[in-house]
Amino acid sequence: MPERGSTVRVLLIDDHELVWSGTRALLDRVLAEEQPSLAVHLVTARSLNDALVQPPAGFDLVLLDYHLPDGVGLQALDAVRSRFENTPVCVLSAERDPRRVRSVVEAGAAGFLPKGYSMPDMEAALRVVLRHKVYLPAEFVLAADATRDSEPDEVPSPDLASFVMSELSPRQRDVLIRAMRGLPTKLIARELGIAEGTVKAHLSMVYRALGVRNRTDALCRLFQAGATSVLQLT
Amino acid sequence: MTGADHTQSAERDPEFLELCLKVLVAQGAGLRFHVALMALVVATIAAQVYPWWQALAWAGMAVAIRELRAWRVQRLVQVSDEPVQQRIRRVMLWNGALGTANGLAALFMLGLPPEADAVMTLLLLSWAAAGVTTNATILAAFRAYVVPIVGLTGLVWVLHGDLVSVGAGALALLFFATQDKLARRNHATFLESFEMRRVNLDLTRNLETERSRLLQAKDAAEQANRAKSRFLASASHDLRQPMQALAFNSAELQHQPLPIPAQALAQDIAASVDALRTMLDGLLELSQLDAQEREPQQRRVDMRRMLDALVASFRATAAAKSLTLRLDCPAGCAINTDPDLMLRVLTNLTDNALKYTLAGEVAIVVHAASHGLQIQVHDTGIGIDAADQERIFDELVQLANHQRDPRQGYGLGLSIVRRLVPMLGMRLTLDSARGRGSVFTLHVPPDRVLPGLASPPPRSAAPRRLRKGTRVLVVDDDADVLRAYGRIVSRHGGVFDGVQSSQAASARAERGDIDVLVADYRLPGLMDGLALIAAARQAQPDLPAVLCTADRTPELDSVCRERQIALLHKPLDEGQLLDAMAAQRAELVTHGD
Repeated sequence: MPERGSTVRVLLIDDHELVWSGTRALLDRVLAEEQPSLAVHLVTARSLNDALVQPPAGFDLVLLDYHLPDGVGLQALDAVRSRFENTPVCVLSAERDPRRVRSVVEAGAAGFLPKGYSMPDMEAALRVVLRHKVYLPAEFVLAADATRDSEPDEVPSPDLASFVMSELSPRQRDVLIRAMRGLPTKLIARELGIAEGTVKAHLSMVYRALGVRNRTDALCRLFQAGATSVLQLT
Repeated sequence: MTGADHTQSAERDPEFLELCLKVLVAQGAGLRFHVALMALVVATIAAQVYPWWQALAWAGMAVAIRELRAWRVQRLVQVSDEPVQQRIRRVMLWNGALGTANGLAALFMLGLPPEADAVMTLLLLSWAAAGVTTNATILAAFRAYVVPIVGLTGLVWVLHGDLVSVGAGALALLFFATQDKLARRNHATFLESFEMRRVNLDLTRNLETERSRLLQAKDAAEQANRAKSRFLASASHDLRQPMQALAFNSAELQHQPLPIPAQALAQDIAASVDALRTMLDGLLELSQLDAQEREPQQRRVDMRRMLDALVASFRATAAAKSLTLRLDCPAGCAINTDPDLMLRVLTNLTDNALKYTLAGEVAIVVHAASHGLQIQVHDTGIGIDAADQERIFDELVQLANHQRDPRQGYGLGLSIVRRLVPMLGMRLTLDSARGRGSVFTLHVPPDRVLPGLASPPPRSAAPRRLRKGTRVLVVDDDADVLRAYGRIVSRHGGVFDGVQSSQAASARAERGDIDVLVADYRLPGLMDGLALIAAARQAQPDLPAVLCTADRTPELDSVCRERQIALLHKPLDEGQLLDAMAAQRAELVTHGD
């Protein structure tokens, strides 16, 4: 499952040291259930500046607290994304106002993890995050889906996962997965060895097939249809 | 207080007296030339008999005293710091002097012929009469002016000695009495209008005081409330972090190898932590709503899609309590509202209904009302006494949770609902009685209801098919009919399962893994098609169901409408079957190859 080595390297940027050890234990346990052969290597940083001195490559996932002493919200997200440009960044926050979730995802976050979740919910969320490097809160997905304009000929939700697996070309799926994780078009092109224009063309076709207009809605649709399993890199 | 008390108190009121003085001075001003002309006329009449210098001397004195008085009295109002009573006394003295000076003209009458006497009397009395308008605000000052004039005039007539003259003197007195009465009436009117003005002024002042006091109190209360909300928001935010750590660690503790008593402890700690977290969430949400940090954003919300997902998310909770959770909402029903706030209202209402229902069902029912749309959450729970129905919306009120069992939450859900509903421009009503369950009704005004897809989507030219893999269970005792159904279902992409008896069908349905149930009404055995559908929906509450019958009875029509069952009359074709399935659940049927 992981893209590199026998450890999953996670960078946690949170000024509340109290949550570090708990997060580590939880990640360990979730991963042990998922992939007993792998171990979590958690690197912690208590501020943006601490985080930005970490080597830019080598992490599989960055977990970023929305409120940091030296950088808040989208500003911090931008800084972290440009430093760790190949790594999906999930934002953590206690406030799960849908506007905040949307703004964070639109700014390129791979997901949004609400801090106030109950333990079972948190475990389930971390499982998805470790496996697919994306996450959206259920209530956000639900409210967003209820306002979506459904096309009469769109793929019904229960069929979405099999549709993605059988109808999309492997290349289209590669592009979709990386886009969902918040990688910029430029990097997707570089990683797959294709032109940026091709990446964009793939994405617009995939979005149309999913019945959505942009990346945030696509991510919502995949979560709503319970189709996140298609986001697994093979 | 009586009217008389008012009058008396006002009459001694320095403010009133000051005003009387001012009016008196103002009334007397500007009469300089009239007075001078009058004095000249009197002097001319006198000069017929008396030497011209005597006549002029009197006129000069009268005009001089009038000017002096006017000047002094003016100063009394403008610059004097004497008490007002003292100044009124001075005005009286001046009036006495002026009245005497004017009245002295009567002495000319001693030597004048009777015709001139009459003219003179007329002039003097009209002079006195002018005092009513100029001096009536202070009765004593009026009298001090008028008495010398009328007195001297009357006296001179009496001194003439003859009966007619004495009569004329008496008439002069009578004239005084009349003028005095007039003056008193004017004075009373003036006093009353002053009283009225003062009462009005007091009233206005009191009202203003009261209004500003209320405004201040309201301001203070609002400020305190906002401060409280801000405090709660920041406190619950700061509390979140250690809370999170506590939750992580207590969860971890439960996964450690522990001795049995410690395991129980760890479980209790985890339960407490979860209760604490739920409460913190509620408090944060409430404080954010109270701090009015959230503006509703209107979007088109597909209620059917929202409620389908909501019901799915509560399915496990309902199942854990063996409750039926039912949704009855027409497909394509849409309203214009804030999707997030709307979801929170519905989540809290459903959560509340499930919490207080021990047996039976919770149903979410959406239907058009005479005025807009109604979204109802029915439960067969404990119900609420009329007396408590307002109280349940208050924070932390849980009627049936006297032991405050933390697993039941902390009663913040309905207070959140109460704040959200007006923000959405909706209204919430409650119909309940103890032991009879509750119905919470959300009234959506007509301007929020959007034209939806109330009727099934129009048939398009593209061939229709069943959603890929749709599992259709068909029950019909006729093996040939069953085979025909099987061909239709398979040809349209569905997975067919056919049985010939209701017993076999209900056994299948209990597994809960079918998407549509198609049943014939007349079936051999204990259950007819209607009963079979009811039994199947026990296991799978929203199961789309189609009932086929050869009978045409209006009763069956209404029963099916009420239970949301699609009714088809034999003979039927495959188009009708697909229509019926689409009407039950739109997404079962798609257009395309």
